[in-house]
Amino acid sequence: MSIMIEVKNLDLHYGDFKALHGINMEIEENQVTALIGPSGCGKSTFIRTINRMNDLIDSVKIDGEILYGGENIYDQRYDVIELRKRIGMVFQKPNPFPMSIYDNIAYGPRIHGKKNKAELDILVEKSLHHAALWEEVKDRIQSPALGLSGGQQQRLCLARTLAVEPDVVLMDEPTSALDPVSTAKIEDLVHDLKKDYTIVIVTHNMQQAGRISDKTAFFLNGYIEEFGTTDQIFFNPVSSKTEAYISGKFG
Amino acid sequence: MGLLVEEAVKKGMEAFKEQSRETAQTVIDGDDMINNMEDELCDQCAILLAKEQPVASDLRHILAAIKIITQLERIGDHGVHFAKKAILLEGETYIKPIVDLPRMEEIGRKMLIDSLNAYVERDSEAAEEIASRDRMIDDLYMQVVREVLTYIMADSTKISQGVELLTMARYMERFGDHVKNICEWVIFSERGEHADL
Repeated sequence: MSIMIEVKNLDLHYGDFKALHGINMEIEENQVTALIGPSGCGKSTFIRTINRMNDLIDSVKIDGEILYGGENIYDQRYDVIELRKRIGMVFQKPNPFPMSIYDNIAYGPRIHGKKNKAELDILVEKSLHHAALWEEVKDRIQSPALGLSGGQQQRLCLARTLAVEPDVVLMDEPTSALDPVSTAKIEDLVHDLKKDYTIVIVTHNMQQAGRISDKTAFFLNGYIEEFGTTDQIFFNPVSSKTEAYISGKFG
Repeated sequence: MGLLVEEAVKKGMEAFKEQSRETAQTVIDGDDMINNMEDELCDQCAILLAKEQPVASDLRHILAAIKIITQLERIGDHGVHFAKKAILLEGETYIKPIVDLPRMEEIGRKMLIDSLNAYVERDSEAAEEIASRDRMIDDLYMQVVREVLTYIMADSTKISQGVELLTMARYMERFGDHVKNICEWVIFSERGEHADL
């Protein structure tokens, strides 16, 4: 299994507060890596470092390296727009743009220079297929995206991310605002998508992490307490803190 | 369930030694309760898995319980086997003194009690020690086999009972193996690894 992203000695400060301490992690290609841990442990902060979303916060200071394609994404010359095209993100709450379903998906490719209508049509359909939404929306593709249900909106956001053909999809608690049926659809999708994409997912739902991920990292107080295969973490964790957390004894 | 099974093997051996049909029947009648308890405990484990969705050592402890109750049910069956042999040989004079078989039963029963305590205490080191005592049962098994063979080779009229005694010895040897299996599940429960004791 080849390494898609390598995190080396990553520290992150919000002003004086150190939120991440010496994070080292290898994220493997075509695998699902789950990040778990109690609130405030740094897992969301960490996932946002992978496509430099924390750049938008002034007080953030980052040390260490994140190597993607052999290059440090925190290198000053690194093209952040290109990075976010290659490493897309889906957030906790569905956030479709106030435009049609079609335009939501075509938005990214258009920004990246794809203007040909026929090409965009193909891309929109393919992305919606990938996100298992095509059958539900194919007859109303020009309708407002905000008219979709919460679960459909989240899959639309996933389709929008996939439309720019990334390598990596980051998901920050993508099902926490969804009902069980919509959650199951997203989980099925994650399973299918890992053939073509590398997926990193933050989740508060232990069973979800157990069901869908290949590797699991347990974050605690800004440190990685334990990182291993999901089988090992959920069946025979080394750290007593990991065991206590996944067994629901704290957090 | 452990107490019921312990009682079954103890009474089963008692019935065999004393050729008591009454005691033997008690053991045979009591087996239904052990079998029902196996089903009930299995259901309780399934409900725990479904509702609590345990992981790590909690999960292993429940998985071990499911495997251990199967072993207990089989040990209970051996109690019934002893009892049935008691009824079969009722009124016959034994071709040899019944000394080693009760010794095997006693060692096995102590191992059984200790192994269940080790499960409750999650004590894998104790489980290793308990399993090592199975060697004593195996040695006694070989001793009984040699002795019975000597008797039946010397007198062919003793073959019929000799075969029954050999079968009893075999049940005892299996009893020890079942307890050893329980010890292996205790180790699995605590360490998350399969031991071959």
